[in-house]
Amino acid sequence: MTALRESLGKSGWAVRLAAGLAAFILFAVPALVLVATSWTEQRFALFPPKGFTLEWFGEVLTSKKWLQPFGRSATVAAIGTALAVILGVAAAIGVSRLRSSRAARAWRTVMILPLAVPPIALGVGLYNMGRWLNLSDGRMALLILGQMISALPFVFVLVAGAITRLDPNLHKAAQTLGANSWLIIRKVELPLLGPTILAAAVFAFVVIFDEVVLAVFLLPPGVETLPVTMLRASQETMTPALTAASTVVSLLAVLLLGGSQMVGRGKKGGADAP
Amino acid sequence: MAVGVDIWQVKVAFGALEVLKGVDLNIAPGELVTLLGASGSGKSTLLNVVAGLLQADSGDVAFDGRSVQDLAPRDRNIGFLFQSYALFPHLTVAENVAFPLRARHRDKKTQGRVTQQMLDLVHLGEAGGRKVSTLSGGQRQRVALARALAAEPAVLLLDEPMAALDKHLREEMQVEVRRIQRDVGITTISVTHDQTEAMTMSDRIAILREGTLVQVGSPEECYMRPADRFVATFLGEANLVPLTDRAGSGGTAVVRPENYTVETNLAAPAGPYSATGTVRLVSYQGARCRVEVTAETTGELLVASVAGTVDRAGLAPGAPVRLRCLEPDKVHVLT
Repeated sequence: MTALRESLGKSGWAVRLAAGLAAFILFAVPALVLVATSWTEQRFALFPPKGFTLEWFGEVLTSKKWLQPFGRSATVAAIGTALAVILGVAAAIGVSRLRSSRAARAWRTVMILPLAVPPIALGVGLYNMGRWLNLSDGRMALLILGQMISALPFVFVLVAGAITRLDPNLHKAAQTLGANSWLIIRKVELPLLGPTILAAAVFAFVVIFDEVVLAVFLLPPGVETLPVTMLRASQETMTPALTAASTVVSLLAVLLLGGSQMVGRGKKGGADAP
Repeated sequence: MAVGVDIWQVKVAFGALEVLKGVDLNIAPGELVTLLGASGSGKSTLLNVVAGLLQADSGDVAFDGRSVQDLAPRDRNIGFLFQSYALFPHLTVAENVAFPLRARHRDKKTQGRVTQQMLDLVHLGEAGGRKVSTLSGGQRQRVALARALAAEPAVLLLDEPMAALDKHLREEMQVEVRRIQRDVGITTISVTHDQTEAMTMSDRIAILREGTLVQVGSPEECYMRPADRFVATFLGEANLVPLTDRAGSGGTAVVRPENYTVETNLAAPAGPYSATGTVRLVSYQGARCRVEVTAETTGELLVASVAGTVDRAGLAPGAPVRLRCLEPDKVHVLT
C-alpha cells in the first residue's frame, strides 16, 4: 500500500496530468469544436473554422427568428420551474411526514416515475389529452405541464434527500416549543433547505429549457421554443448561426449553474453547525 | 404557579419489546426528578411520552391534574432540552430564544424583552446577535435552556442534558442548571445514565430497570437505603456481604467502600460486618485510596475506599487484612 503510494508520489504529477487531459478531451473538446465552428466565415458549421467573423452571433442576437423562440423558452422554463419547485418541495416535505415507511416508498416511486416514462410517450399522452379536452388554444399550457412533470423528479429527489439530512431533532424541538406545522415549514425547514431548493430550481430550469421532444409534439406549426428552432436549423440549413446559438445558451447555462453553486456554498457555510 | 406531573401506569411496547411496563410516578410542583437507568431501561421513552413526542400504549400523563394524553407536544406547554441541543443553525442566538414566543404570537416588544431576560438568566446577555455556530458546547446548552424556558412552560424536560459536555464543564453545568431550575421554580424531569449527575441535581431520583421503576427517593435515601441489589450496585459502589452467620436470617448487608477501613492487625477483635481476606490491588486516587480485597469466605471482591493514604508497604498483594466497618448503623440490610 505504502509502496504504491510512494511510486505514485514520484510519478504522481504525470498520473494527474494524464487524468486531467483525459477529462479535458472527453468534456471540453466537443464543446470547443462547437464554439469554434460558430466563428467560421463559411456558410456551414464545419470544423475546422475558416477565418473569423462574429456575423453569426450578430444574427442570433438580433434576428427575430432566434430571439422569439429564446424568449418563449425562457418564459416556459420560468413558469415550469416555479411549478416544479412548488410541487416538488411540497411533495418532499409531505413524504417526510409519513409515518408508514411503505407509504413513503410508494410516494417516492410515484414521484420519480416521470424519469422512467419516455418523453415520446408523455408527449403522445399529453397531445391526446389536449385533443380530448379540446384544448386547441391551450397547447402552451400543455407543454408547460409536460415539461414541469419531466423536471419534477429532479426537484423531488434533491429536496427529499436534503430533508433526510436535516437533524430530526430540529423538527421535534420546534414542536415542543409550540410551533405548528406551518411555522415549522416556513421558519425552520424552508430556510435550511434554501440552498438545495435553489440548486433544484436551476436544475429544473435547465432541464425544461433544453427539452425538445414535448415541444416538437405539442406546439402548433410556427410556434417554436429555442431547442425546436435549433433542431430544425440542424436538419435544414446547418448554418453557423446554430452553433452560435448553442454557444450562447451553453454560456448562460454555465453561468446559471456556476452562480447557483456559489450562492449555495456561501449560504451553507453560514448556517453550518457541527 | 408550578404544576405537578402525574404519570399513571404508562406502558409502551415497540413490537414485542415492552419498553415501559406500567410506570407510576408523581412529581410535586417545582420538584426536579431524575430518571436514572442504563441504556434500554426506558427512561428516554418515558420522557418522550411526557413530552408527547411518543404516544403511550396505555396509561395517562397529567399536568396539574389534567390529562395531557390527547395533546400534541406543541399544546402541552413544555420546555424540552435535547442532548444535541437542536438549536436552529440558521437563526441567531436571540432568534432561537424568541422562537417559542413567536410560536405563541407574542408581540415583538415582549419577544425582545423576554429574550433578553432569558439570555441574562443563562449569563449570555451579550450573545444575542451571534450565530449559533460560533458558540462553544457549554454556550449552546445555555442557549437551548434559555429557549426552552422562554415561554414560561409548565414543565421542563431534560434529555441527557450533560452528555455532550466534557467532564469539567459537565460538573459546572449541573450546578448551573440546578440553580436556574430553582430560581425559575419549574417542575423538571431529567433523564441520565450518570449517577453522579442524578445525585447532584435531583430532589428525587427515580431508578428504572428494564421498563420498571425499582426505587424512587431522595439521593440520600437511594444511596443509603437501596431497595435491592441492583440499586445498591448501580448507584455508587457497594459491597454486598451475605449474612448467613446470623441464625440463618440470610440477609445481605450493603456496605459502601467508604464505610470500610483496612486493618493489618488480624488479632484485634472483629466488629459487625467486618470481613477478612487478602489484598488484590491498592490504587492511589488522590484524596482517597482504593483497596481491593478477595474475601476469605466467599472469594468475592470487596472494596474499601480509605480517606487519605494507606501504608502501602503492609498492603502488598496477597497480604492478609481485615476490612472493619466504621459505622455499622449506616449499613443497610437487604432481606
